[in-house]
Amino acid sequence: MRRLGYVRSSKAPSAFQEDEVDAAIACGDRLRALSLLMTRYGDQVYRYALAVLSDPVQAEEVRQQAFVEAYRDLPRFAGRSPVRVWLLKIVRNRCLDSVKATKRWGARFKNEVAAEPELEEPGPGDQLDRARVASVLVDCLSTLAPAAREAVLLRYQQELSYDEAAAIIGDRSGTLQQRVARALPVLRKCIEARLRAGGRDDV
Amino acid sequence: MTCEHYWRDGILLVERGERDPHRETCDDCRRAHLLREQLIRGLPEVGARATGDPHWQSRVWSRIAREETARARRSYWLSGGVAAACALVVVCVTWMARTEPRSNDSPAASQSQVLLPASNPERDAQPEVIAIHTREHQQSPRSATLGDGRPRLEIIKGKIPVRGAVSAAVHDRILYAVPPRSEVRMYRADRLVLRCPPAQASPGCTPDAAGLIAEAELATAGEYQLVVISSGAAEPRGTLDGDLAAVVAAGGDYKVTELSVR
Repeated sequence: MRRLGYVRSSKAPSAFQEDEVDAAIACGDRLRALSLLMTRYGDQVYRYALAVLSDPVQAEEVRQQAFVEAYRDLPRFAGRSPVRVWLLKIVRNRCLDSVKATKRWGARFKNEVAAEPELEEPGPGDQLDRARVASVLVDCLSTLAPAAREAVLLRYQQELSYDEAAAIIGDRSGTLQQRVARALPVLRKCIEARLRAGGRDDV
Repeated sequence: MTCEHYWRDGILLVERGERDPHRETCDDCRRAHLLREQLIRGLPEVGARATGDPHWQSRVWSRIAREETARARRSYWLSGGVAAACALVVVCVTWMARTEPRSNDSPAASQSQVLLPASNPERDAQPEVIAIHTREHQQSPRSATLGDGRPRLEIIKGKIPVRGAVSAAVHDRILYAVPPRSEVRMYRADRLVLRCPPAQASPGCTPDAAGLIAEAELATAGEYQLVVISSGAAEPRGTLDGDLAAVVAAGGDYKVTELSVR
């Protein structure tokens, strides 16, 4: 039987690409390893940070910090997990730092919470619905509890297995499965409600 | 009335990769499953068109360059401070030597700088001496530095070392002298790279009258683990954890020294 929890999408970087990064790390060629990492995972890292933080400026800062840190820590990378998982772990920690800093800043200066990210304009033709659903999804993801949002994003946006996501978050796979199973119905209800509301606005 | 089984229980079965017999017979749940699939397909699209700063990679390189410059500056001042402190120590020692004659002069002590690790009750029971030498002191390393007090680990460095953690640079050499019936193994990143069984000569392993000397160049950077097995050496399988477990299972005794090579 096909175990959905362990299926990797064809969109995930191939093992060959990871091997290339691993080889550069093993040779001690940090410059090449970082260059490969940035080319392969730069956009993924940014999208993940953006979905978690809902702030393009903070997401960009987290991406740059994460790669600087990755460069510094590459000699200590022991290869116990795939390099992508290791990198996302760094990104997650920087995202947590960023969230904490925003909260501290808000508490100190009584600012409002960071503005929601700009929604993307729907494209023409059959791209319309997908783009619209995607923009509604961004909205609805921000209504989830942070832990649930993180689990959904790692599993289905980053397309990691539950084991890999669990290694990043530091929880058990079963816990993440339950978190995702509870989050998906909430997302579905939110999307349906927003699409209905959007439909009425269009009329 | 629509069936809510899928959103309540069925979805967890899907996440676990388990079969849901109810769904096979329930149209509502099959529809709900299709909705879920649609939702999942949409998630990778979240932020798909967002790319952020187009020059972010060059900004990362600039940050790295700034960090490296700052680190180099820090280590420059640090090494200057260390050199000044060393000079002060040399002056003090010279002055003390002139004013107070030494009672126990040892030729070995004049040829090598011997650093004793900080006091530790476990280590004090079987003291490990780490002697760090400069290349200039290595004309006859074995005769000059080995003798009693095995096991003795020496790191032969190209530069004057900083006293502190056990660390070495790439292309430094290690020399590990152990007593008879002891085995030396060297692991890099938990993988076996050198094995010197007792009383067996092989490249890097030289038995002598007092036991065995293992010698190797630290050719690549990384974390090294130096293991001396004093009894019960089991046949190694190649990984640190597995091999140590085998030694313990054989009732043996071992000692691991971590060595960071940069």
